[in-house]
Parts: sequence; C-alpha cells; structure tokens
Amino acid sequence: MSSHECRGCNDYMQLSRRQFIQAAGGAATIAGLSSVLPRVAFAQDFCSSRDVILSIFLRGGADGLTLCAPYLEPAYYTSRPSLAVPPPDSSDPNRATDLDGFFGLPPAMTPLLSAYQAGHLLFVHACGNDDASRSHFDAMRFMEVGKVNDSTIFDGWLARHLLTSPPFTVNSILRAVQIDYGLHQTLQGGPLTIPVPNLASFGLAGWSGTVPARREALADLYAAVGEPLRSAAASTQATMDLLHQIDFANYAPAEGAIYPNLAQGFGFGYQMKSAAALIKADVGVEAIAIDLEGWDTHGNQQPFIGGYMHGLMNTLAQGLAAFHADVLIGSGRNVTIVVMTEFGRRLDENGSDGTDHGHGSTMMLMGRDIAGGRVLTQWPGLAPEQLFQGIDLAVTTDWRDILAEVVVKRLGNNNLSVIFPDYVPTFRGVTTACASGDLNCDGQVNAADAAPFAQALLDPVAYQTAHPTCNRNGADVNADGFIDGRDVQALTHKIISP
Amino acid sequence: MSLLSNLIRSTGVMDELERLGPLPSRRRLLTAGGVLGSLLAAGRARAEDLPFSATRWLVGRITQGMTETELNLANSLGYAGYLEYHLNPMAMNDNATTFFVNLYPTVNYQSWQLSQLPQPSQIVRELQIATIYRAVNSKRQLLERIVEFWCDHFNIDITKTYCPWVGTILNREAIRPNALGTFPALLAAVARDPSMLMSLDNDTSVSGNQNENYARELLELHTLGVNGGYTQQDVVEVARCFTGWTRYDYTVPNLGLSFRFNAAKHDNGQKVVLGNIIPAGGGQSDAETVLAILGAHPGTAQFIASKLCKWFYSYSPPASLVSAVASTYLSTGGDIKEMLRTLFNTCNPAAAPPKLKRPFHALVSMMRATGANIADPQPLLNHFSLAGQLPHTWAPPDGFPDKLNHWAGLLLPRWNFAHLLAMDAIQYTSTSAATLFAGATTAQAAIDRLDSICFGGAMPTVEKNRVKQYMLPDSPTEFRMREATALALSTPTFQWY
Repeated sequence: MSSHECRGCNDYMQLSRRQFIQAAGGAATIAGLSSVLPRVAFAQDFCSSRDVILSIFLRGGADGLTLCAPYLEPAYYTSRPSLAVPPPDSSDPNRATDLDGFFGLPPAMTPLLSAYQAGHLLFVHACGNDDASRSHFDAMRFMEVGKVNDSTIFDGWLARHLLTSPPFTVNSILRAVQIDYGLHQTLQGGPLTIPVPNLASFGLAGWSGTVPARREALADLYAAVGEPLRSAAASTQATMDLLHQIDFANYAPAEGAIYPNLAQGFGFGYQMKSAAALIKADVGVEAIAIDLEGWDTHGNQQPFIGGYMHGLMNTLAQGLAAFHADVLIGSGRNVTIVVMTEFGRRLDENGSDGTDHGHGSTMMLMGRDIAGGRVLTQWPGLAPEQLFQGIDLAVTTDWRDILAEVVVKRLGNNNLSVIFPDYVPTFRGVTTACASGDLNCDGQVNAADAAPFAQALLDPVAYQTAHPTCNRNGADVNADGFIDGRDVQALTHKIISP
Repeated sequence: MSLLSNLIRSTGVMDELERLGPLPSRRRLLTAGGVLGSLLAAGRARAEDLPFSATRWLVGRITQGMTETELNLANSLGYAGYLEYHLNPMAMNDNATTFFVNLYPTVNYQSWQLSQLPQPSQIVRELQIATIYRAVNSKRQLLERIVEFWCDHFNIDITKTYCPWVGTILNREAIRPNALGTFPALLAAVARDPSMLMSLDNDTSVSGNQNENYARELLELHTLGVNGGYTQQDVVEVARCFTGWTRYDYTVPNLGLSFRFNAAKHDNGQKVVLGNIIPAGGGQSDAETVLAILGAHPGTAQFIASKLCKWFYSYSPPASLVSAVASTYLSTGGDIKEMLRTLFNTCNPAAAPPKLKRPFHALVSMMRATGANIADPQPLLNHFSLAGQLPHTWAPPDGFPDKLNHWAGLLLPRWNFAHLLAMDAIQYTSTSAATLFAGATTAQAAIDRLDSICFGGAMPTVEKNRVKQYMLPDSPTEFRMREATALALSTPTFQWY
C-alpha cells in the first residue's frame, strides 16, 4: 500500500521495535516477535462505520417458528403436531439445538452455530410489519419500500440509503448490484445500481475485434435518452469493465468456507460466493441484494431431515456460514448481512402438512459488529389471546427499528426520515461498539492498550484475570480470526493514527 | 413544447405528480422520473421524425413485434379494421405454425398420456418451445399477446408436485380457448385445472383443515385485487367452499391427474362469502357459486379492466379508460373482445407513453423483425433464460412482473441476443442476408432497409444516423451490416413499444 493511502504508515514504518517493546513493557518475551513485525499488509481501520451491506430476502413468507423454534412454548407443539421441531432434550434426530434456553435451531440451521457462538449472528423474533393483509405482494412491497400502505413510494429503502450517502469512492462505478435477472424493490431507484445475473459472465458477445466500436456505438445511442435506460446503459458499460477485472473463476474462499451447491453453477451458494469475491475485490460496491425463493410452504412443508424446507434452510445456513468464514473472519472485511422475509406463517398447521400465511417472523443480522449470540425479541407468547388476530405470531418489533440501527451504526447514514418516511425508529441495540484494539475496555484505543494487548497475546489467562470484563477478542485487531503478530502491526497503526 | 405538454396532460402523469404531493424535490423527481423520462424519450423521438401513426402504434401494441407485413396489413385495413382482424384469430389460416407446434407431441397429450411419462422435462420444454415459436411465427398475434397476459395473470409454479406433467394442459385447455372469450368462463376453466389446484395447494385442502392458498390468490390476484374489499374471513370461507376440489392421483387409469371433486373431503356447512350466504349442503356447487359471484362482481370488472389497460395501454392508464373498460365488462358479462374494443377504440394512442418490452417480448420482436427462421427452437431456450424470461418459469402466482424498473436494468442480454441473432450465430435459428438487407450494398440503403423492417420507417433520426455511421465507409461488408443490424435491434427505441 502506497504511503499516501496509508495514513500514518510513514510513522509506523519509523516506529522501532524498541519503542513498541518499551510501551508494552516486556522486553524479553517480545523479542520473539521480531520475525513477524515488519510486513504491513493493510492499514484499514476495522471499526469503520461504512460496512458493505448484503440484503437477503427470503421470498414467500419464511416460517420463523421453524427457523428459530420456541421449544419451551407448549402451544407450539399442540398447534403443530406434525411440523414442530422437537425440543433439545428429545431423542429425535430432528431435535432443536438450544440457542438460549428458550429458542433452538432445527438441524438444517446448525451450520450457523459457529457464527452465533462467535457473537456475530443475531436472530430477531416476532419481527415484521404491522399490516394485516397477508398478501405476499403487498407485504414484500411494504418491507422493501420501508413503509406500509403508501402507493406513492416507488423506490426501495436501500436505494434511498444510497441516494442519501456519498459513494465509497469519488469515481464509483457500481454502487449496488442485485444478483438476479431483474431489480427487486429494495434497490429500485438506487444510483449506479443494476441487476447482474452472473457476476462472472458480464460482457459483450461477438468478435472481440469489433467490441470497442460496438460499445462506442451503444454508448452514443444511449447517451441522450431518458431514464431509466440512460443510466442502465451507462452502468452496464462501466460494470462490464469493472467485473472483467475480477477473476471470479479462480476466486478461492478462505479456508473452511464451503459454499453450498457450487457444482450447479448458479443458485444461492454460487451467488453468495460471487458476492464475497466482489466485496473482496474492493471496487466500491456498497450494497448487494440476493433473493432466496421457495419459502411459501402451504403444503408439505417438510422441515425435517431429508425434507423440502430442511433443504432450503440448509442452503441458507450453509451459504451464510460460508460467507461468515470467508469474509467476516477470513478477510476481516466489514460487511453487515440482513436477512428478512415478508411475513411468517400460521401457528396452526393446515390440512396439507403445511402452514398458511402468518404475521410475525424472524429477521437475522450477521456481522462482526452485530450484537449477536442471542435471540432478540419481546416474545409475545403463543396463547390464543397473545396471537395476532387469534391465529398468528404477533409482531412486537417493527422491522424498521432493526434496519434503521444498521443504517446509522453500520452504514454511517443518519437520513432516517428519508429512508423510513413517517416513522421514528427505536434502536434495539443490535449493533456493538467496536472492541477492536480496546484491550483495557475503557472505550478508547490508545497507548494504554499496548500493555494489555501484549498480555492478551502472550498470556491469555493472565489477561483475562487482570481484565475480567474485557473481551480478549479485541486483540484480534485485523479480524482474521487469529491473535498474532499481524495484530501488533494493526494495533500500532490504530494507536498512532486514530 | 406544446406537443410535449399535451402528451403530459393527457396521460395523467400530471395527476400522478399531483398525487405525490409535497415531497422532497429529489424524491419527487425520482418517483416521477420513470414515467416522465420514458415519456420524454418517446416525445423526443416523435417530435423529430415520422409523424405519429395510430395504426403503427396499434401494430406495436397487439403483436409480439412489428413486421413490415403486419404494418402493411394494418395500413390497408385501417385502425379499426386491423383490430377486428386480430380479434378473429380463428378465421386466419395459421396452419404452418400449428403444424410445426404439433411436431412436439406432448403439447397435445391428454392427462393420462402425460401421467405415463416418467420424467416431465420434455413436457415443460415442449411447452416453452411452443410458446416461443407461436409468439414469433403465428399470424394470431393478438391471441398470443393476450395468452401471455393470462398466463401471467393465472401463473402457476410449473415445478410444483405434478405441475410439470400437466401444466401444459392449463395452457392448452383452460387459457388458450378462453383467452378471447368471457372472463367468467376463463376463470371457471382455470379454477378446475389440476395444475392450478396443485400449484396453490387446493388439491390437499380438506374439510376442517382448509388450505387458504388458492382462496387467497383467487381473490387477490385473479378477481378482486388486493384492495377489492375482501377480508381474511372471506379467504377462509372461500377456502371452505373449495375443499374437495382436487385431482386424481397419477396412478388412476385414464383419469390420472385430471380434475376430481372429492365429496368426502368437502366442508358441507353454510358459508358466507362477501356477504352472500351459501347454504349448507351445496357440495361442488359451493365453489361454482363463489366463481359466479366473483365473475359478476364490479370489483372484478375494475381489477381486470385495470390490468388489461396496464398491459395494452400504459403502466399508469387514465382512470377514465379503466372505467370504460370496466363498464363494458359489466354490461357484457366479461366479454374480453368487447373489452378490447372499448380499450382500443376509446383510448388515445398519441397520449400513450411507451412501455418497455419485457425480455421475452424483446427477443421475440427481434426475431420477427429480422424474419428469423427457426428450424429448431430448443437452443433458444437458453437465450431466453439468460435474458431473464424463459416462459413458464416464474414461480409465484403473480406472474412475470410488468414493471419498468424491474426490467430496465438488464440490457446486456438483449444486446447480446441481438448480436448473435444478427450474426446468424444462434444454432438452428437463421437470419438471411437477403431478408435483412434486400440487396442493399451501401450504408444508406442498408439503414433504410433496417429502418423499415425494425421500425416501420419510424427509426429516430439520431439513432438511424449513428447506426449508419457504423457501416461507413461504404461499401460495408455483410459482416459489418449484420453487426449494424444488431445495433439497430439494441437501440433504446427498439426496447419500447
């Protein structure tokens, strides 16, 4: 990284080992670090407030009562004799894995346990919008435009975030992409936003000899027409060059990141992997939208091993888990993932071994600065008088409360009145203050953290004893999943140039 | 400017903008941008070039893509005459297309024959082939346009349960014969179709444990529309009426996968639907009563009229046009031809903002304009898939979207298909130089020819000059002229209709 891009790098370069060791106070033991000190791979601040956002929409009304099963609720079992996920203490192989003593994950979702236990995955239950229509198309529209029952809104909430925030870079080419054949509502109206069905294959057909002339002709033809074609054409041309620079075919995910169903060459796993490659390429894309269809389980829901919904949940879980290992841990990029659906499903099962349209469901957030490792909910209960209209899981957390906090805290955008019009959100604490480098957990990253850091690195037990309320993971300053010499460099940089 | 302001005034865009009220200006601009922008684009094209022709406009609206033949026919029959001509598809000799489609046997199979096939992929493939081939080659163009509309309106998930086996029957026996008939007859035919029943889970809906899926979409998507005034309780009651409407198991000889009313599974109690009491003991007729109520309902008339106007006229049709078509529905018992007469004979063609061709329409219109000869449609399926609209592959019951902002971003596959088509590089679909260029040897002659076959002579000057420029200096090789053809098919104007 050249010095003009790396604030403080010159200072860092000049900081002698001796100075650092003095600050750390442990001369003899630090000497062994000399071999890993000099290389500077990056100077990124991992507590950045501009995450990339990945929005995943589960289309069809995903059943939150299966995704995150309330196994302590008796009504769950009496209403769903065939479909309820068995409790953790059952001997049934389809039993739930406990999350927090009340909710559990069905076997299909267990690939997410690693992210959950790392504190990066948050479930928000009994979440949704307050409209009673139970129409897919209305409900999706409401969730995606960020307001219920307003036919004057034509753009998506995420598009409005992009419209009210500056691009990552001054000459940004592609700010947002929908990995699909059409642009869904969430991103409609967004600047420098197009659908790209396959990131790895986005170029002009025909003889390469005439490509430049043909591209020039196309550029001229679309230069002066009205919207939306003018922008679509301009973005298409620019995006062809942008994506061509990225070697999607040879992209190797971080170790341990196994995306599902890659052999198909398309589908959710392939799209998640492409998204990871695009994000790591750091070309200025700020928002990515991926759809996962098939959640409208009116009949033969089959949430158990070998069944339809099990397969669908497992695809989702494996895709998210792979992305977690690949991007959130492996490269330490700041990405926040939002997973939502238009509504949940009926508490009672129907006559077709399925469930009809419901109301409240589950949202998921994933990211290194998400306050995860728990199920956040104001659980309304499943007794008849506690159900919405006597039949559905109620909504006690408005979906905009969750999204708004992500927008402010993770995307650095305060324009909530534009993004979520006619609504004042209440933050629910779904994001964390960044702990990276704050080893004495005094809320600051400065020289006072150097000694605790050395201790965390060399003697974890002593560190935890000395700092019982602090999070030793803050020593993983470069967020690569390891606490090692590279974190020394990263911490030093943070201290020198905050 | 006056042409433009007239255009704006008469389309209801001003109403649209008024309704938006006092919004932050950027939002106002953005929300109006889609409609206004496209309007401006069209306005600019018309003001500079060939004067507006209602007849040419009509050809673009009631065919799957303008051709010289259709334009000449329209000019000789006149606007009203051309409409009437296309409202009588069965009077046309369409034997060539029919013969070709019949080469694919499953297109004509009965349920019992389809049930016997171990794998359904051939059935779905042949249906997709038939849809594409007919759209390109059939003389019955308005029929193809309205069949496409009804297939979206009554969309099924062709991958569900046994739908891949019998989805072709919904298309052949419920939709196609009733597409230009009456809406109540079409609705009734679709309601008892096994694919529809399976796609929306009514086949497993039983007394005491009804499944709401079909009932909800019947009200929301097929008849009244989401704001049509029905309640959750109505959904439940309609579902109760439809219990027992199912299909035979595929193993039943001769009857496999065909419609079955299973009286034993029917909820025989009294129901109340939209305020109508349906007495106990009605059996199969309960659902038929519901269909009759819905078929005659003013809410249905309004919803269907609105959708037809959006399909044929504009994304945001004037309320007066919708009302007129709805009135025709109510006074004719839902006669679809009469509704189309009202629509096209009372609308103002000059005031219609253009609509964006969806990918299917765009690719079909490219093949029609170039006189493409499809010897084997199968390789085309992949191209339609890459463009985002392989027929019959949309899973949710609302059908492929017909929204500008959904499709406008995906231009690259259109440009690429245009190129491969024009370069004669699509396997088993050929475009001949003779048809494309009619002996032209200069850039001017070639562009005039392309203007005629792709735009009916209405290619905007700016675009025409730029594509001509690509072929200079004279005389262009055939290779160069074919590349220019691809550019002509890729122009902004060609994407609209």
